[in-house]
Amino acid sequence: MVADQPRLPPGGASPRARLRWLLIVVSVMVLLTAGWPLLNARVADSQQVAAEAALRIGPSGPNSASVRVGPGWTMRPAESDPRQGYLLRHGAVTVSIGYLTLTGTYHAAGIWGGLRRVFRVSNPGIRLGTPAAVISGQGLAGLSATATGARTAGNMAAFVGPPGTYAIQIVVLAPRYARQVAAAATLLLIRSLRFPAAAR
Amino acid sequence: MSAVLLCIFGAGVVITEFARLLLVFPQAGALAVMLELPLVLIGFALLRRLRPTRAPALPWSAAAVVWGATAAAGCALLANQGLAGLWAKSEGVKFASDWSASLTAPLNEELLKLCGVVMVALAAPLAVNGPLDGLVYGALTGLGFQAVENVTYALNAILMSGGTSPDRVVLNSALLRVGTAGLGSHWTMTAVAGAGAGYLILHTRRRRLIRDASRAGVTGRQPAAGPGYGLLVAAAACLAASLGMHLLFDAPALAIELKVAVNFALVAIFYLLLSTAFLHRARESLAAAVAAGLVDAADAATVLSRRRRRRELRQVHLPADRDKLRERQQDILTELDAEAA
Repeated sequence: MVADQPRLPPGGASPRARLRWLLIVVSVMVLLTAGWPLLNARVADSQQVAAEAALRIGPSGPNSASVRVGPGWTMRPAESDPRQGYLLRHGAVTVSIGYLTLTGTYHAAGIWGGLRRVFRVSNPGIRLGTPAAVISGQGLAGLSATATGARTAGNMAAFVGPPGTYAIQIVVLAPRYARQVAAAATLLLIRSLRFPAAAR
Repeated sequence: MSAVLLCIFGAGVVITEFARLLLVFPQAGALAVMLELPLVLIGFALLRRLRPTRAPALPWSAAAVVWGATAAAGCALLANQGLAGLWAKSEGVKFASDWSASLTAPLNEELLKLCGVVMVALAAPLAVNGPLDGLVYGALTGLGFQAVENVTYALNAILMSGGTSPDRVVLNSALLRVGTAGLGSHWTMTAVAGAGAGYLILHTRRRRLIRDASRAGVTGRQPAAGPGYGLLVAAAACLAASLGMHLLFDAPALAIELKVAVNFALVAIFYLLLSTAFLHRARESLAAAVAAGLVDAADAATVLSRRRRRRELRQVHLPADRDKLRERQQDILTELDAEAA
């Protein structure tokens, strides 16, 4: 607009520079989107869990829970978070332990309907049976049901923590031939489940 | 074309990731999306007002939001899963639980969102002239990302609450993400990063000007500021600041209100500095143009203010004359946008 001043080119780089920038952008996108997952896939997702080690789940303090597993169990660290839950393996058995923050005060029966729907989200094609009452090693009442799929079998169990505001969901799945092993693993986890708040 | 493909890919990733959850919890899913609409609409209108003289072009503003909501959000889902997994495997689950988000999201998300600002600048060279334009387009990209991230948080909250009261969980999540964290979330970080892209573009343009001038043997007055490294340093500083803001936002053990206040204050101060400097340069440019007889004094008195431009347009009764005046106003503003950037 000012006559005697050299004017900046009206935006835009040369076609070559634009192509260069486009390549940079696409490279950054590809590098981040594919690079990290590929690198992650190359690192083994398995970590030995010390026998009889207590795995704490949830926030620190009374509103947490813990489970103990025996020898031979491994954890998948990429899918585990002490605040939210763990993904564990023992032979053919896969165990998912989740910490659930409830939006009110509940008993196990009150959360089962919601858990059944959540189970459908993460385990398509696997049906849950009718829930039955189970008692944890600490004497707390919970619910457990069998899970059956075309090639998979196992159990889901749920226990509400003593204040009623959080719950622990345990899903144990294995190939159908290892149904008994899955049932034993479920029993082991239910027996080892501890709520610090219940011990007070 | 590549931008469109990346947006389609990103949208596909987000939809695939949450398709099953949406099928099982359709009502809560719809609620999660609906609750973000006011944020997007109001945010879109407000952020476009940030440009002092006139709003950025509507299609490119929308494109920035769409990039943030699709390409950036979808790619970030994959990138974050990959890097977060690496943190957990290399440093242990306890460390990852505390620090994975703050060490993963800033790097991946800020770069992916920033690519949107660069894409807009590549597709529409007149749209991003300098740091202020970059800030606005960055904020719009961040807004799109923020809205989709809020939806994904709400949907994940359904799972983490065991599917009990899914509607209430979604509502709580939206209230927290929009009501408490909304003012200092992604739009602030990407606004700062976008300003960095604006500095980089300004540097490129000034370098090109000097190169063209030396090729043509022009010996006249040089632009007030040569390219030097100042603008590059500013660009790098903006990117670093956006990463720092994001790290702070995701850092554990700090109150969310403090994080929001810091991010909002940073972007507000930065915006005030940039817009004041822009208006100062625009007024100088305009005064010089009036002195050179290139712009009428009457036009110069009104052109920088939206309200005064509208009032001047209302006073012209003939539609053809009004169109001419509007065109003249826009021509002056286009020149000013480039010169005052």
